[in-house]
Amino acid sequence: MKRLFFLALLLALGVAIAALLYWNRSVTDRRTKTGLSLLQKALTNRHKWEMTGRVRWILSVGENKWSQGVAQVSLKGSDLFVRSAGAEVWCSAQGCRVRSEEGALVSEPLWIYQIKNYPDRLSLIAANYRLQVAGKRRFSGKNCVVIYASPIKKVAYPRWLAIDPVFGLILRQEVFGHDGTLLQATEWESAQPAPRPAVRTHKFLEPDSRWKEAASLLPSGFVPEKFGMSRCRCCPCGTTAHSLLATDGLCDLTLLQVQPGESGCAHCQRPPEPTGVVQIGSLSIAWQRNHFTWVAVGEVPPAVALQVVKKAAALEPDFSLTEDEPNALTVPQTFPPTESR
Amino acid sequence: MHRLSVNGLPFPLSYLALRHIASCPDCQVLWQREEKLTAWLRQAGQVKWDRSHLWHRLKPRLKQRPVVGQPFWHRVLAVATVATSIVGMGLYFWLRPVPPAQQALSASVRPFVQAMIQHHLTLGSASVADEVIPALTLIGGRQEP
Repeated sequence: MKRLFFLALLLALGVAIAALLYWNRSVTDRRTKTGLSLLQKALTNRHKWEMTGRVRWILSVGENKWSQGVAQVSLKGSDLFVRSAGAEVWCSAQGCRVRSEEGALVSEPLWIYQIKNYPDRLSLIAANYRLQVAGKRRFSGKNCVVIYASPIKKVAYPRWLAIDPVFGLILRQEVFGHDGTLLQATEWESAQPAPRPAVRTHKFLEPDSRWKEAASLLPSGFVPEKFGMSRCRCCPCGTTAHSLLATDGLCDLTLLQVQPGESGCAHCQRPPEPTGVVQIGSLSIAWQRNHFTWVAVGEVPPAVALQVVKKAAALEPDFSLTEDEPNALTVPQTFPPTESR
Repeated sequence: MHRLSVNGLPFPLSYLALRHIASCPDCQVLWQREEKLTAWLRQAGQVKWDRSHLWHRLKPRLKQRPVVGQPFWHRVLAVATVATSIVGMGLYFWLRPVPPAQQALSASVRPFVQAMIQHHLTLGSASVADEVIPALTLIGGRQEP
């Protein structure tokens, strides 16, 4: 009798532990699903709506110093204006201009191609991040769901996202370093979503062996998404750069191959050091000079960005992004539906 | 039968021990001896000891007694462990990857505003949040931290 009682007790204990584990897993799955559905809404709505209003940010500029600023974002026709103290950023289909006291810097895209059949961002987020719904907060007069996205590998930064569940607007975002330091926080103090005007559509590019080689340069979890070329228009140098945009779903990293040549204005000049890395907020900019100057710009740790440019420079001249404008595929335009810049 | 107590054992073990002792005569004898010894020790614990007297008795004997060291290899092992730990920690701090040195913001970032814009142009608005705009405005506006 006692033996039976003992066995029953052990069985009950086992069942209780299994139930606890199942409940914990189902709660985690439910939270991940909620986070993913909100991020899907945010990703979809970024193509439908342009956020305008007043935005405040704080950026880490190194040595335990931060810089904060407020900007007014407005939409005129298809052009987006960001005005802050002493600077103005203007984005249109023809290019992007940063105007300050030192003059204007203008860059124009020559062509941008979307790589065909690349994994969608939502599946990349699910593969590369652990998502957790952390609670509810009120931002910009809207009740938001706060999501904590933690990268599975340390090639990206963890972040908090406050998403308005009705419209999918990201009203606050905080990015932290792996040591817990705040790198960048952006908050919309007043946000008015405006319908995005359809200006330009992307063409699609068939992936070939070069993309596999390019993927080997990228940090783990990042996949190539776009390929483009742009040109400086602010000075006679006309420097061109081929760019490869890669993403892990939340973070973006662009590898630029800048053509060699004499540089023009102050903004187009290259630093005297052959290699280096700087960080502003969560954005790292690393460069390595060989025949081309390889630059990596993205929301990754500085060491990761530096590793990418060093790998790319080491592969020269066998690997290069340089080529003429590729032939676009006649693929029906499905994603993204519209593009304003 | 002498009532057995298994104080100090957690539940399933106390139950199993009791079951075994009840059915094993050898263990019953051992257990009863253990109980008697415990009772004697408890009684002895109530005697007041004159500690100073004990110390006076022990001290001369301790001095006379030759120091019996541990085997030599124990000392070698201890020294080797400490030395390996120190060398290991030194190597860890010496060889660990050091984050790349970052350069002063105002001096070195300006040449890469072009690169940041190209990143922004390639990005379009497919990203969840456009992280480049604050940095561009910071550099363009020359806002000092």
